Amino acid sequence: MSSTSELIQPIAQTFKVNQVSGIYITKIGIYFASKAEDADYPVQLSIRPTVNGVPHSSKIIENSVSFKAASDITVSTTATTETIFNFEEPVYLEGGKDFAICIQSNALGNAYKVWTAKLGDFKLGSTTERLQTDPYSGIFFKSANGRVFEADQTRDLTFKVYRANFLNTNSLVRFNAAPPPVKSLTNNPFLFASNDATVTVAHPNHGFQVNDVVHISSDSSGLDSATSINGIFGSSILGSRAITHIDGTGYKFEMDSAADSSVFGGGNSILATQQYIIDSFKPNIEILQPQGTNHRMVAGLTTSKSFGGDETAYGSLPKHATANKTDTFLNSPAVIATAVRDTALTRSSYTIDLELISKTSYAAPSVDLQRASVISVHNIIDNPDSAATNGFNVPLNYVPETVTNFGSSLAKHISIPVLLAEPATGIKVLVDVNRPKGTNFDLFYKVLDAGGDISIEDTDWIEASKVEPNSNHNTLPIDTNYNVFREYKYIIGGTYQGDLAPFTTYQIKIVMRSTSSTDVPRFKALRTIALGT
Amino acid sequence: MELARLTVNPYTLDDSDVSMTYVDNRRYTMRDISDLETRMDKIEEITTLNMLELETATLEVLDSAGVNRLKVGLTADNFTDHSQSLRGAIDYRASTDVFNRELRPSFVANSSELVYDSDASNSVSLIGDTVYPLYEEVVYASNTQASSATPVNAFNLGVTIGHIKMSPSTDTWFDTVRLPAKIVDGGTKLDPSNTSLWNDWGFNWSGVQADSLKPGYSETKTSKNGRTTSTVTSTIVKSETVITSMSDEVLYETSIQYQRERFIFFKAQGLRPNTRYFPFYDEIDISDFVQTGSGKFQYFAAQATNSDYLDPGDKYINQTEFPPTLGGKTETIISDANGTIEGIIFIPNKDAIKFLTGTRQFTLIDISELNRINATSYASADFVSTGTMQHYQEDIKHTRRHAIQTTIQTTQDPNYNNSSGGDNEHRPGGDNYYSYDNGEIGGTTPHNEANAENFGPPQQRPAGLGRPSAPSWGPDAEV
Repeated sequence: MSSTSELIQPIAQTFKVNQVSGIYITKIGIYFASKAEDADYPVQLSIRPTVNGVPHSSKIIENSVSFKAASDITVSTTATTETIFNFEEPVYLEGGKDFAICIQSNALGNAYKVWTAKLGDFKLGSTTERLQTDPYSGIFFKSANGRVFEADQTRDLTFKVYRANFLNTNSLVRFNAAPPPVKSLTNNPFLFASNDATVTVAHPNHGFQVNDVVHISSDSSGLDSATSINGIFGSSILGSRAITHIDGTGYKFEMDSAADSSVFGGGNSILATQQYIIDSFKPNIEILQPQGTNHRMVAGLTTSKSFGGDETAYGSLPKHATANKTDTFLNSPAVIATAVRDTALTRSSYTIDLELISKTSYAAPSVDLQRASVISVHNIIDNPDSAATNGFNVPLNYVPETVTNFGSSLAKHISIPVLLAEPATGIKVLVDVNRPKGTNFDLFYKVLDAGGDISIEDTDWIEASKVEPNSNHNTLPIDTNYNVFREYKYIIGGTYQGDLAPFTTYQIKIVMRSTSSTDVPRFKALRTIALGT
Repeated sequence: MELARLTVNPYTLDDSDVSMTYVDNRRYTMRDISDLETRMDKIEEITTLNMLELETATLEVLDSAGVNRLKVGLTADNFTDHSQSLRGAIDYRASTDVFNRELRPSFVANSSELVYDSDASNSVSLIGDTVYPLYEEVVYASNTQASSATPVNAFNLGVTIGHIKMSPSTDTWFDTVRLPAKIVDGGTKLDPSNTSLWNDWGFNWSGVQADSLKPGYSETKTSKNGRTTSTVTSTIVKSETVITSMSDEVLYETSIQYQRERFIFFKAQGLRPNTRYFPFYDEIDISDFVQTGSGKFQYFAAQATNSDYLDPGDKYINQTEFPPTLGGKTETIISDANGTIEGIIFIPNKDAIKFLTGTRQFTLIDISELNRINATSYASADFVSTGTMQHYQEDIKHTRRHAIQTTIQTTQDPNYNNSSGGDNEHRPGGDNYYSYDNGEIGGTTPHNEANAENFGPPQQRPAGLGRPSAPSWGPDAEV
């Protein structure tokens, strides 16, 4: 409902909507007795809510304003030919409430006049018959100054209100997700290698797969085809490029020529296409759903591939039931792809089919397309290794997790360093974990010797071995129940007495791994105990 | 409800024999209940954490004698916040689900427009920006009787107030922004992969700061051990920058302060015909950002999936006026003979001109300042813009790595006298030249023919630690 404090109070006629479901009105017919010259101001018709039966002074029902130029108005001296004011969209009016038809114009000199019926007057064109009953159950309002309404209980506007009579067919609305817009990359996103035509692009969460095509461009202030950076013309970088290697931080592609040296470059105006990986999604569609109506929703999805997964990208998934404004979790990742990929697929990579259901002809669900969107959520996780093996991915720059501050895994939790008043020689760690199929985790620790003169930040991580439930947790059953958390135990430094050099600072790191981004390990209740001798 | 208790003594003589005790009835307001709920939540959280800590503290960790081992310290984290997470670490990459008290990997969330596909839809029609099931029009209410005519403008208004329709009229979005990557200077490192570990001195750049090294720089060291003189030349053969992405995480979420770049279609009706109008948005003149020439009113819902008007993303991020590629700005905006103006607004988001989110008013007015008192005609409409932004930041470690190639040349002094001490083992003679390339010891032992008879036949030995080893012969090593 639009609201403004500037409304003038014109002539108005109220009417009531009796149906509980409400109605959609589509147009209103008004009968004109006279009109202004063609070049004069038009006539405006609008619908307002009422307060205690009086038209609202400052609110208009949304989309209920309609204009009619003088040239389009039909004057009917017998009040038999109506001038139709069409609404650009059907206007929904709630059930059980009164609404007011308001008519106004700035044309001077009483140029526009509309027919009304006054109780006790002669019927138009007759001197033998008077109006003996109230012509209509609503109330006619007028104003002497444009600011205050005054009710005329004996008069009613001559009018017709038209509504939508819904046919109750199987109505289906298809939505396609728009390809993700181009992304402005971080400053100097290209990492060139000396005498190498392969360039690494810093583009986290890009959503691409190997052999996908990324389109690199630049806005008018930045790199163009003739610009040379590091011995390479922009034309060797810009345009559509086939991706040769990916990880969660970016990707690589081949330029048309090799770079002179190993530097960052590209400036701050580089744009790149991107894709959105979907591990869960939430449709946000504004559906006006009157009483007695309903809707159903299914999603059409296109497969994607996790970093360490064996899924096949760009296949079709079966239709997936979903609900509006509710999270839907997938069993394998999907994707909202680029326009190029959609074209190759000959379909949209992500669709929503919305079925509109109604049991009454007076009302039905309607869908506001101005506010139709979907939020896609992607878990950032991988299963990295230094060499390509089944179930693992090779990052652009693999670094094992034992290296302090460098590990290339995409998912990890690091605890704050724990300072001890007395030296310890062992650590016991307990954590409750829900570990779905294809997921795994590793626990690392680091300790700082008592009296050590280096920072714990400069100390490398050491992988810890589980003692329970099993040292080889690949043999454990996976947790298929989302709510089941299994307790894992570690005793670092020996089961019975600590064999670590006495330390006064320790720190824990949990590295999360998965072959599918839809399935991730989840952790609860992390407990650590520093043990003395 | 009991309010008070009265005690009446026997033979009540006066009011001193009657005493009254008020009952403490607490009358809680909704505010009190809200405060209690908040306190209960805190108590529940603290209790849960305390129980976890208590459970941890009472765990028995036994030694070989069955005695409980001394607990020097303990921690318990139920992941209700990040207080025990090293969020400041450059490679921290996890998120917490505070409602379920869980730790899980970090995530990224994106918002995509959903576009109506008329070809694949059934029994519906797109009207304006809304889709409806099919319908037919019927009369709902009417009064077809008439007796007299009533003037529409009996009060002769002097000011013309029009009406503006906008599409879209709202912009609700969920977006992410990437803060400039935090570059951590990893310093300069020497990459010995092309050399070998020759008791460390093969790459011992004594007195030279690694940061000052450049390709081509070389250093030669000579040492003598008995009859053997070794000359090691270490050369920086190439220098490269190593980028290591160490984290990429949501630092915080905020309500977005400024509106994003956006195109808005508008149609103003009921204005003065053939009159010049000036556009204002949030009380700022936006004449440079309005197109009313080729730009006609369109419904947002009718845009194709690849339309610039749907979601321009960052494409026009540097525009200082209505994009010339889309028709450019309109210098003079004039209503048509019917009092209608239609066109497109480009909402900029530049430092020079940007608009706060929330409800902002677009106004067309027939004077060049936004002063309705002096104008004879105007029209206004509200545009609502709300967004949530996730702020991401990537930490990048930036390391300069110098690759070293080391050549080692050893010479044997034929005049060396064993009795003078030193290396008195029998070793193959000649000038030995070792070249290490790509980390492989491709060592050869060029034989010094001139000294062959003095030092026996040329032999090949394992190059332990980079120099000919003591007698540990490989098979068929003697040639």
